Amino acid sequence: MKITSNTLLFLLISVITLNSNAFSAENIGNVGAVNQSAKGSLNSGTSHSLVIGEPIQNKEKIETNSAGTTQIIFKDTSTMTVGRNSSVIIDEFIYNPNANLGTQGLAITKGALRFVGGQVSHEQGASIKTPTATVGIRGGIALIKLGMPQGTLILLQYGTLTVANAENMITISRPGFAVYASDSGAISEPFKAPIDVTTALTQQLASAPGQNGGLKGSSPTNLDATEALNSVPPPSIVQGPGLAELNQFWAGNSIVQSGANAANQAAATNQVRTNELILNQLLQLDKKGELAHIPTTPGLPIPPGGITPQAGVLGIPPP
Amino acid sequence: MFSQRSLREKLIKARAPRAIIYAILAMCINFFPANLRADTVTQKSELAANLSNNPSDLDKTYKFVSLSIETGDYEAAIGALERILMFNPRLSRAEMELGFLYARLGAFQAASEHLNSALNIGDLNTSQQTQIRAQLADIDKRNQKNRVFGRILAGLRAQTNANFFPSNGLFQIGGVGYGSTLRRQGDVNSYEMIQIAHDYDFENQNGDQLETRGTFYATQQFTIPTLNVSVFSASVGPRFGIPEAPVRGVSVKPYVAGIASTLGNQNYLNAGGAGLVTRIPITQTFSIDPGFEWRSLFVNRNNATNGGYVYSTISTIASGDAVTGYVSGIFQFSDRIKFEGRAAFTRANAFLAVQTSDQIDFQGMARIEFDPPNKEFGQRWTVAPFIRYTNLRFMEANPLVDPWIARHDDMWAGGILLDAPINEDIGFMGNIEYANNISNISNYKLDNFLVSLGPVVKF
Repeated sequence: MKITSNTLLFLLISVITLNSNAFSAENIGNVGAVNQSAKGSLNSGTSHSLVIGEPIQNKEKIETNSAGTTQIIFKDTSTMTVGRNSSVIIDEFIYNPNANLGTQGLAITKGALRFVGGQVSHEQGASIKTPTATVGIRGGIALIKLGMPQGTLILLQYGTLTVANAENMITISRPGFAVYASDSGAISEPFKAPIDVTTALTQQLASAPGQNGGLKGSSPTNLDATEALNSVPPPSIVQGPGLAELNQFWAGNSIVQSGANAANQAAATNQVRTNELILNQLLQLDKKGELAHIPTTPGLPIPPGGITPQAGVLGIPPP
Repeated sequence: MFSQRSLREKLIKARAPRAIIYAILAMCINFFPANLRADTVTQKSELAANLSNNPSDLDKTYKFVSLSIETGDYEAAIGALERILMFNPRLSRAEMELGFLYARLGAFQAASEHLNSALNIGDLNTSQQTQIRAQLADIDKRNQKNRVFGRILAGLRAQTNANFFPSNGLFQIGGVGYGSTLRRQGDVNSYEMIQIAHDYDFENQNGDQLETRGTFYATQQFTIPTLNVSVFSASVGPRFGIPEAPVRGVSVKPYVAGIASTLGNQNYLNAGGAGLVTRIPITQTFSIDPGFEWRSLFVNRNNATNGGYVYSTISTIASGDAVTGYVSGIFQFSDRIKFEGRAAFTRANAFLAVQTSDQIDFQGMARIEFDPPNKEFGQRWTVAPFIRYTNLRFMEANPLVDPWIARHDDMWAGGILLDAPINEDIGFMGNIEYANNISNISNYKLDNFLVSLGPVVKF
């Protein structure tokens, strides 16, 4: 059979196309939980209702209605929870588990999401495009909500977020702080997110009463969770007594020791002086020949705690 | 590296001294950060792959949460718990765990939300509620602009050498040695310590805040009232975050500090000064605080306990000024083991040359947390062995003691501290300590053993 150059070109294109299809069809994660209605679609094709455990692929678009929420588990253990009335596209997720390397890019065009980072965001960082800014995530945990009166709300819960557009770039580094990225391109200074805003956002991501995240079978119970999870108390937020407290004790003792050193020296010296005075008296009595007449009882007034010279003469002159 | 099995084999074969070392290593390895254990990490990866395809397997999800917490991958645990909550939004045990995990990550607002949700659902058992309440007050404080933390310690302390008398009773007096018939005196004292800390949060994302600290400490000796001591110290200064620093979380704090004290119920040491300290988180588990400080000191030389005007020149603390360079550090070795350390150098320039000294101080403590004997207590207990070494070197000899030899001390101290919280407000603290001061002058060769125990009230 004669192979023409056209045939070779056809074969080459076919191989490339097949590889490309193989790449795009790669399973990059799964649906971890889903409350209907939540739909997935690829390349603007027909959408289908997401099912728990279903594989997710690159370029997949996820849309929810007013009752729908879903959580996607990526291969690097990162998760994305898509809130009600939302639309998110998984632009790109590539992950090499052996090297813990990869890239992760998402885009939200409507609604709200929570992103909890995994290996990719820890190592290379992940990014989430919004209509008003791109959010770079190092770490971390982020909540994003579009359509707020001030623009897009971007809230940090852990790690570091870099919020950037053509005009501005702001870094959020304190958990609980957020920025607004407005349609005009302005990005606010980071501010402490009000509790009512975060509560409303969390509610938009949570299952409503009666929803079960698509779980087939019985719901998790407190009894099972208590048995399965460790019941050990967590570490305290405020550390108990430690070196700081011991240093207070030590500081007190240093003051006592400092004073006691001087007091002990004074007491010991006074003993010596007293003994020396007594000795001098005895010597003078001896010179006068009166020592033999002193009665032994009650005896000399030797003070309690008398001191015995060991060597030499007293170094301190009497006052 | 040692494995548990190899250590066990070595332990069986080893003779006494080595067996003790292997036993300690084996004990430590049980506390090792689990992320160093390859099998745990492998197990978690396998579970993650399995759960991705079958996310509704609750048993494996709980196992994954536990392993993630054990390996310090709190985000993975949070992702899994958020999923369980989608299956059952009223699962208070999951809310509780999420709250504690967010608290570990410093997301106190999220932590508070989840912990309050857990309590509000209302089906947690008593010990779980106690665990939440033990933390919730502190977590809620972290969300406030004005935060006040306080702790009151009180109790009894017994010492074998309360008057810090030389062990052998020997004194150098003017360079001549004498044996004193006076003796060391053991004594018991009551003590009280009140610590108050106030933070004013400027609520910017650098974490800038004004920090005010105050401590009052007092003792009342049962038999030697002349050694009663009271110390009041305070410091205030702003802490500024440095976002431009190459390491995240760096902050610097200039401060002013003061101290006033009494000894034997008479004024003794008064000091005031200023300093600068920097906090540098090297990693997520290791941070250091280097700093320096200058203080002007005034010692009341007429204090009666201090030996009177002449003998006050012998005391270690003297009027003048002191400059200290120091670095303290904290290393979170594992979930249950934390090391604290401090090294400091102080040059005390006294008005009298004979009281000018250099001091090097090293302190180290290992905080080992363990489960309380009763689950209802709700918080971990801590046993903390510590060690301290101080080198004190005077520049000149003191003629009242020895005109030819300048004092040079090496002090070693070691002990164990116990912190036993009973609930969110009350607990107990105990301390056993032995200190031995080795000096080139007999007057200062002494040791002291002390035991203290008392309640702690937190607010």
